[in-house]
Amino acid sequence: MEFKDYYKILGVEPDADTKTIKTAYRKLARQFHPDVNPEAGAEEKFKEVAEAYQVLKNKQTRDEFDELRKYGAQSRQGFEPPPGWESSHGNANQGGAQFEGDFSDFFNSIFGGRGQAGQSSGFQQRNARGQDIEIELPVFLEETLEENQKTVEFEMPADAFSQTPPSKKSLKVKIPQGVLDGARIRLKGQGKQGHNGGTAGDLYLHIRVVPHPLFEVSGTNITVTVPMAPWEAALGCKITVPTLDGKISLTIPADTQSGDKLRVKGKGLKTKTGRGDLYALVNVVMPDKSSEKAKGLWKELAANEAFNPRAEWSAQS
Amino acid sequence: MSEKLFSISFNELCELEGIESQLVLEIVEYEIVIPLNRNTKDASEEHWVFDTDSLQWIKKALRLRRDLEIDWVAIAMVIDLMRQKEALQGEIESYQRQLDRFLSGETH
Repeated sequence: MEFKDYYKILGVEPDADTKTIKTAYRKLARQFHPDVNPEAGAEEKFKEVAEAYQVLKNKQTRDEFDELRKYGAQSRQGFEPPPGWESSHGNANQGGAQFEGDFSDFFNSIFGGRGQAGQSSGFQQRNARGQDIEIELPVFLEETLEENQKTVEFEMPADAFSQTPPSKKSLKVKIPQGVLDGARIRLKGQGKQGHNGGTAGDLYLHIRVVPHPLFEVSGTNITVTVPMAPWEAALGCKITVPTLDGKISLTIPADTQSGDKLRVKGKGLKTKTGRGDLYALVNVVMPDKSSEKAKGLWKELAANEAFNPRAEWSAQS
Repeated sequence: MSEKLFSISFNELCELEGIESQLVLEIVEYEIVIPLNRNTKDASEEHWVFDTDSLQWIKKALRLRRDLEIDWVAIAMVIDLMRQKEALQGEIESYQRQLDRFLSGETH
């Protein structure tokens, strides 16, 4: 086992006062807290920092650690607590410090027996109800239009208490119509099993609507980008536009601009309260290459049209 | 097939999730999460119902309180900003995809 120098972890001198230790902890905690810092490794780093702080903020445990540190710093080949070592406050009920959280082997070897869940965190340790599990469930946009039965496969994490290894689980779930991205469906009792008569935890399905190659979702509305030739935009036209349920014919008025949005009512996402709209976003595209004939026509247009797309610039200069 | 829900009740939060009721009251007081039925007639605490999304924010709030030793006002601010950040990130990704389609003019 590796000796952990809690002073080094917090980046303080071994004779630092409590205030300095607190300040150092707060700074590191803010930086590495897994709820704030999503980077890989942040959680591990935070655990280390939290463990160091738990030990050093309390005078009794800090004294004990200081004693061990003198001893541990000498041993180069892994750390073992000295023979006969026993934390002098090995029982939380005797008024010693209480610890909560997930601690390293090193910590448990010195302060073992006290690493129990405390009361101050807000999470009470109750009669061994199974843990909740959350998994992400990708759902295609089309699937949200109707109630959909899906087979959910996930891994049930290993259980240290009953020594159950991780196992694959499969579950049939009806995904309700109109489910939106980010929604969480709670399946009672499908989480980890409980112990000693405790009930099983819940399974949370975190719905992630897969980005669609054509449609962009915003609330219950969807947008489809419609590429259009310049003459189609100028003269108006009828085009076929894909929707979530089949193609429709859309009339584009003359003099349509690139970036214009045309609304098609009731072709968006379905929800309990109704249906959103579909927006056709016009994108005027130039042909890659113009034929000789086309060039001639453009030239004719250029000679006869007074349109200046940069009129704003000349007005300013 | 097990019961499928989009909500979690006040009692379930306390009993199943092992969260002290007093803390749930404080979290609601600071509007870190808001019960779905807070403004209805039977909105006494024991009838409160939360959407399933609230549970993760409640847990986050409790962890921040425990680990960072900060008060509810600060936690409420942090959580508000986290929510805004999540929403903005989603919007940026959506705009980026739209822009890519627009610039490439691709239809498939």
